[in-house]
Amino acid sequence: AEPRITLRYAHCCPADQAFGIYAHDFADRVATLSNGEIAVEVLDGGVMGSEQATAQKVQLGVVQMAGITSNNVAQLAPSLNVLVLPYMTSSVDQLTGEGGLLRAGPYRDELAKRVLDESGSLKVVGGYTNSFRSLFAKDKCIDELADLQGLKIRAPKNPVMTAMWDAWGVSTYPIAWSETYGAVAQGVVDAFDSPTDVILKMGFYEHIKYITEATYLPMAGVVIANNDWLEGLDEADRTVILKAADEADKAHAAWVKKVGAEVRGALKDDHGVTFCELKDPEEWQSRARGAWPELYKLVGGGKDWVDATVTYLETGEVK
Amino acid sequence: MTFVVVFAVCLFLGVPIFAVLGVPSLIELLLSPIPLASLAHSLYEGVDKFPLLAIPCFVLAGAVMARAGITEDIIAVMRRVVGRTHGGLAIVTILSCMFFAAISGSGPGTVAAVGTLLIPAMVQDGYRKDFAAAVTSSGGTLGILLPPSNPMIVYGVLASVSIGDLFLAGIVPGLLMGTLLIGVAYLLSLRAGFRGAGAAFELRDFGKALYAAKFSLATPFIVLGGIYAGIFTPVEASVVAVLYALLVGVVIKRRVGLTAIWDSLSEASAICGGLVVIMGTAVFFGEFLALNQIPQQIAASLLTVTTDAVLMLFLLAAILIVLGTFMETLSTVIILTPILLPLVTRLGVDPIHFGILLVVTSEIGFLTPPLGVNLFVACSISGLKLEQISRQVLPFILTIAAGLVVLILWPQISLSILSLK
Amino acid sequence: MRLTRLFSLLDRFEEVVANLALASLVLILAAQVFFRYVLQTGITWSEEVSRFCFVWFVYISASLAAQKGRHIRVTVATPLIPGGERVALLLADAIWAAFNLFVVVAGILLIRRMIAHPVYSTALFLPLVYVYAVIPLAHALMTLRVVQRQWEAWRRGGSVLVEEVEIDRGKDGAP
Ligand code: NA
Ligand code: NA
Repeated sequence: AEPRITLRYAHCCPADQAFGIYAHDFADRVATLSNGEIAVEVLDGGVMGSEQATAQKVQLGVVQMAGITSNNVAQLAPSLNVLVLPYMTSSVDQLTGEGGLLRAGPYRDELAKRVLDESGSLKVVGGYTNSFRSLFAKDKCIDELADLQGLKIRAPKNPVMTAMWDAWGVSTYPIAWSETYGAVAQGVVDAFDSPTDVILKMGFYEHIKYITEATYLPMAGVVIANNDWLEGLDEADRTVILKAADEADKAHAAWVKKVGAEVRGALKDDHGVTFCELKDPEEWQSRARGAWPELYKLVGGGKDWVDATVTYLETGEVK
Repeated sequence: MTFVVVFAVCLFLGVPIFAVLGVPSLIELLLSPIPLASLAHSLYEGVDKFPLLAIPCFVLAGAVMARAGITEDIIAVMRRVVGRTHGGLAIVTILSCMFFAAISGSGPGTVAAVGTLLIPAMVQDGYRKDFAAAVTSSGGTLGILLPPSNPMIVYGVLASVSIGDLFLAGIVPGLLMGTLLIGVAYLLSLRAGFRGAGAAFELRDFGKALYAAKFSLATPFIVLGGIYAGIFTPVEASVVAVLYALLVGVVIKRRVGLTAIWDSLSEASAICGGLVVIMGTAVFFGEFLALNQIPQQIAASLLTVTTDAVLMLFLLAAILIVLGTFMETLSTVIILTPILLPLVTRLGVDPIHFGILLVVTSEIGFLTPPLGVNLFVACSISGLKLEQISRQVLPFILTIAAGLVVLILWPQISLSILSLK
Repeated sequence: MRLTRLFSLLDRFEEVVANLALASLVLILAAQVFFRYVLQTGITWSEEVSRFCFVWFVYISASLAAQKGRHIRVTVATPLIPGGERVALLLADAIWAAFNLFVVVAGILLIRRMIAHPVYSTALFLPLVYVYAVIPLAHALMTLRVVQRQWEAWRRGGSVLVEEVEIDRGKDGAP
């Protein structure tokens, strides 16, 4: 039969990548839970524009839902910038595990409330993470803060990254992403950071032989829905959407762990890449967190919201 | 269906292209529950794209270079190269167009820069005026195939492919097309008995001319060299082009002052005003196509004709050439990229290769009436009528079409340079 | 006449704003190139601010282009319309002006929304409403131009195209 409700869900990326996996899994679950009465039409590959533009399209109601990297929704809802403070979280579980910041629960309810207030019409209904940024080096293990000194490191220039590297006493080279491969190959830079799977997918392993999974900054994706549309649904239909998102959140977190292990295995076994461990993670963390005060102004709700988030991570309570 | 009718009515009534793209999508929007405010958001989003900044910068650089006398220098050197051979000045014209193409991203802009000086010179040397105008119009098409190129920038943005790679992929086809055009110009001149009155080639004179023009000749090497060496992004290169043109014009040749700079800015604003704005409504248009799955439907119907990649490219090239007779280049690229690209990539065509083919069909569009912009420019320089030039330009169109066939059959002509990177 | 004076002031305004926006984006990007290649460090805000200058440049110069009759049209079929080119282009410009007015309304609606729920830029955290404001502004100016050119054309007894495609297009390059 024809579906009674059709909703459009947009995201940035190909269907077989982390964002696309979530989108299609969510669509399947909605179809199953609603007996085919609600259809999710997934718009893959960023056809609605950049992530920031797509977020605005959900806000305006051009599309009903989207899965978007949190910092690209933060221009509409600055509260989300709390997720990109360096070392706010330092494991995938703190984001998407049981009780994680993006898993349905008291913290995410509070986050969703703030996002709705700030944006006027965005409701956070789900969340996922791809992985954290890892450090990649050509010639040696980066296993303590001192190793960064003297390295030529490529890093994007944005306020958060700049504050973080400054706190570690390192100045970086702002090479465009498209030129990074060439710069690494020619030795213009000898280190950079990005999610680990980039090394495998883009063939960087030819030149990058050492990876440190330092977990200072996650790639956090939030699933947003246009609140006016969501509120306009019947109670039962809305429940289907929310339930499907919860299920998709859990399934995606399991998928990320499985894929992460496969990527690490392939890099180690097929390409001879060495994985390095930090000897002084506390030092990295305390220095990076020292940069927070200059970043409070970027976060909606400022220091109070940052403190509330830290408290939740430590105690499991939302003030 | 209404969508198509409204589009066609607006188009043929003479509504500016940017509104032609907006009106049918606006009607769809008003009939849907989507709020009107999203129209303004799409128009913003459509032009808020960093790579597009290269377009006004390259236009501005061209405007400053004209005032700095860089074009004159280039032509002076080319005249020494060819000397007295049959069709000498015609060859000079195409060589100058090729050289100028390496600093300009526009076809008509190249015709204007080179033609203003060389059409009168050819007439003086005994060439028929309509032939002179046709040679310049044809040479000018290389302005968009040899990098930098405005249509490539727009295509790169819409297709999410590297503009630097597109620029690189245009070099060999551009040189090939230039060589073919020189060959035709030579043969036609031979038959008509056009002969240069220039001095015979002498190494010393050539060396002198080369030295005198050194700063001007360095321009493309600085601008494009920076891109190819991976030093600059295309946007940065366009800014470097402006700065270098200012350096030559203000400091070295002392021909450019504040008034000339202001005039160059005004010229760039006037030229770009009607162009880049199309990106805004094009994105709005593209969103409605995407929401209604129209590219998929068009693809499905084209796929019933053929599923062979090469045949499909020939089919699309034919469609594009027909559209190019009455559609403007940049608008065609903007409208068709979101529709055709998913189709050809599904058949395994490299998006960069397709971009080059799109640019070559646009070259033909520059030369085909009723809307052949290069012909318009040549008309206004030479004072001839469109029909007079159109007849003379036919052999050149056929040459570019032959070049297009070669490029379709051998993608490696465009692509193999990318593996050298 | 007062109206003529108002229009010539507007002409000047559009040209000055477009030129300054273009000059600023060139200067900002020049600074970016200098910082990156000479000082080996980046500026966090240069890309963002140059994009904002560009958006203003695009829309204000689009209004300038309407004033100078430089928008790109397909005019193959216009002579075939009953009443000829003059009538076809009058209808075309009526459609164009109507579209522009919808954009003005859409722009005002969006801006009202952005005042209630601000949208911020990534690097400098600027309220983007100031950049978006160019859309209703420029389309309002453009509508004025469309009407102005049509009025002048009918008084003169020709179509708006007379100085449009053949003559103006000839002097310099479209793409
Ligand atoms: Na060019
Ligand atoms: Na044409």
